[in-house]
Amino acid sequence: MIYLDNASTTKPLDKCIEIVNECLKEDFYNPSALYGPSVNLSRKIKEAREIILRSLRGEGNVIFTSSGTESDNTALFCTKKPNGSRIIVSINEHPAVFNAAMELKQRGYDVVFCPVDNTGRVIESEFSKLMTKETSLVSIMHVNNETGSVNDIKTLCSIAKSVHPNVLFHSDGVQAVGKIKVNLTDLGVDLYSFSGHKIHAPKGVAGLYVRSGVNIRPYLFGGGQESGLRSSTENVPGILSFCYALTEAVTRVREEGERLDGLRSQIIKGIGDSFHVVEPIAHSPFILCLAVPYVRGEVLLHSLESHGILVGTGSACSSKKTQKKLPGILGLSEEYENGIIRISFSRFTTKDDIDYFINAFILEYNKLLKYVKG
Amino acid sequence: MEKIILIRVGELFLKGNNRHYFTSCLKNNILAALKDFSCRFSGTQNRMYVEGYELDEEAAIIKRLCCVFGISSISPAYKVKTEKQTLKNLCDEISPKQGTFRVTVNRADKRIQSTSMEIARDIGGYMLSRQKDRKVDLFTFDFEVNVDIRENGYSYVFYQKIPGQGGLPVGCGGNGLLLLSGGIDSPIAAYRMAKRGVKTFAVHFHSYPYTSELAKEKVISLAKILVPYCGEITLFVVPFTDIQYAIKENCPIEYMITIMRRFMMRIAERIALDNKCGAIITGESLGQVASQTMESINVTNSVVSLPVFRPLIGMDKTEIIETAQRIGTFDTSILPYEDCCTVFLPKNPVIKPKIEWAKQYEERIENRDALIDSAISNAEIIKLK
Repeated sequence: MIYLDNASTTKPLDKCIEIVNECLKEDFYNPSALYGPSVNLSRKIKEAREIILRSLRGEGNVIFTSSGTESDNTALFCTKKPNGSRIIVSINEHPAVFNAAMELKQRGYDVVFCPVDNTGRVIESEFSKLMTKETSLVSIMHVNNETGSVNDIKTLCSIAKSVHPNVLFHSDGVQAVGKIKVNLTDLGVDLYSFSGHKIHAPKGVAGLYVRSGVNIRPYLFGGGQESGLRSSTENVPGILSFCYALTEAVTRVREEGERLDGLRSQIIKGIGDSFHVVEPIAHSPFILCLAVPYVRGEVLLHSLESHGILVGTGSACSSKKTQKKLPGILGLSEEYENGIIRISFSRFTTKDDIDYFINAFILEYNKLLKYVKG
Repeated sequence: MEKIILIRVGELFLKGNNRHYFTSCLKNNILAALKDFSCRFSGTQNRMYVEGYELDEEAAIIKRLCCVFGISSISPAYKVKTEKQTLKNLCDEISPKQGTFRVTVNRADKRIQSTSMEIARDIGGYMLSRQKDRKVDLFTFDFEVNVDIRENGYSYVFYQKIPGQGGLPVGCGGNGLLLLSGGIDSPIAAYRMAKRGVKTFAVHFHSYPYTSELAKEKVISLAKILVPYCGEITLFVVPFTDIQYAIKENCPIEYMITIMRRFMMRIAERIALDNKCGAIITGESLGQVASQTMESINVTNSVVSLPVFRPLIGMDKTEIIETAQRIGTFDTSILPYEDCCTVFLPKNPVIKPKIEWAKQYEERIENRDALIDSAISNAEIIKLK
């Protein structure tokens, strides 16, 4: 199986599985208890938090949560925002942010959506126009999950702060951490979400960075874990394996980035120029988004599956075409608009995989085209 | 005093000498419906009983029985030895302490001397004497105490009669092969034929890679929803893409759907005969889409000799949707996965196709028998129960 849908989830590292196993078998204690083994676990969690914070060059706190969605929701709902104040999110945010923003709109906030260019990247001049003194929160993703475009968070953040120094800036970094260089202090963000299963840790664990001096209210109330901000018995196996996977990925980020960028270019060159390739000014080397003419992305996905290749489609694709945002953003003409596929890589992706992919892709696409056209 | 569930059978009364066969069919179906519960089941030809179950499961058992065809009504009841004072005490104890009521007695046990009317009066009188806030009103009452005195020496007291599905027990009407698309109509066609005792086999045409695994899962879910009504369903998932390719390559696009449906009918008939099905069942409703005009149905029907049952032929979409909502298939049916008929959908499908033309076009597909053989032999068979 050649797995090229790593933006949706990744295969856990053997070492992560080992850590989880060890925790489940031996270190199963509740970290909140008072006896030795528990105190030891509590210390390990504290260390994990510090290691992650150091890896991402953050100054503040990391709250462990259950998912990127939970981190995003915490950032949007649990921050202080005057009633009716302005909230800016980009138009193509992941549903975890987009739908949370829609809910805030329902609750009376002045939620506005920032336009993006035809690669899904926030247009800075447009953002400046939307940014007002009444803005309480901005949430703009670091790397777009559909197109792989990288937003210039540092510039956007400084624009926001120059208009209103007290505005809170959140970024969803789920597709960024461990995939591109992330320096939280340099970016200047107040809140930043990241998730375990996108970087070879198990599902069910994620983090929310909260810069020092930023106050948030708890999302879950209970036993007071995570400094009272997220009560729940700690997911010890998740947190410890997450910490391992994250530091591993961050250390390799440069070298993997260069290697995968090579594979990405290999595909663009290998498939020829009949396709619409999304090429942002700045892109993540882990994601390649393209649109094929006349053939539905979902159909191509299944055809590639018959060769043992798994890719993603640009959106939760359906014949009812409920999800039409992305083709509009990319400015696709009619023949391309249903043909979006997303190829996303990981450290396990090899050059041989890509050679095999290119052959299968060309073969299947031409076969499908024969029955569709004319 | 024991809590039991009383089951009354429907149309089986009419079946004369075949009654035993119908009854045993129904009993088997009820047993299958109750397989998840720990309880006893017994019955004669007119009345069946579920006993010895956990009281907190009573509602769930009744819900399950409400899906079984052949049952006309169901009553949760109290069972006691037929003895005058015991009956009177029971009726008094379990009835509301106030309100208007009537007592209705059905005396099947003719060894009892008093008439039904006399017993009813006796029980009613006793109930009145016990609670001053009770009042008899034979016509407009708050509750009715039904007393069913059976020949087995026991009496059953109940308040409500929950209507069952009616119809005939599944299995006694033979086997039918349903064309199951994944839309709203075909599950309802299965439901209606099951009501007339037909055991369901189903065929679904799968156009991978054009239709997804999710579309197949949807069809499996639909078949599962039908199981409480139809009993075990054998589903054949037939790969159809190669046939669609062949039609697309050789025939005019406006005949695509017509010829596809002719192939589907041929395959369906083969599977039907292999599985001793006496009929093909479709969810067609006259005029609903281009392939369901009288002319189209004639052209697709002409390739098979088995009878084709179309129980929805005269129904409006709204009527079909009503049933789909009632039996719980609607929400699954409207999940937005493409089915095989929408792949290669021509912009202008022919509305009044001609048999001769369809035949002529089909002859251009040289290996059509081989395509059908291969589709059938590669079918995935899924048993749902």
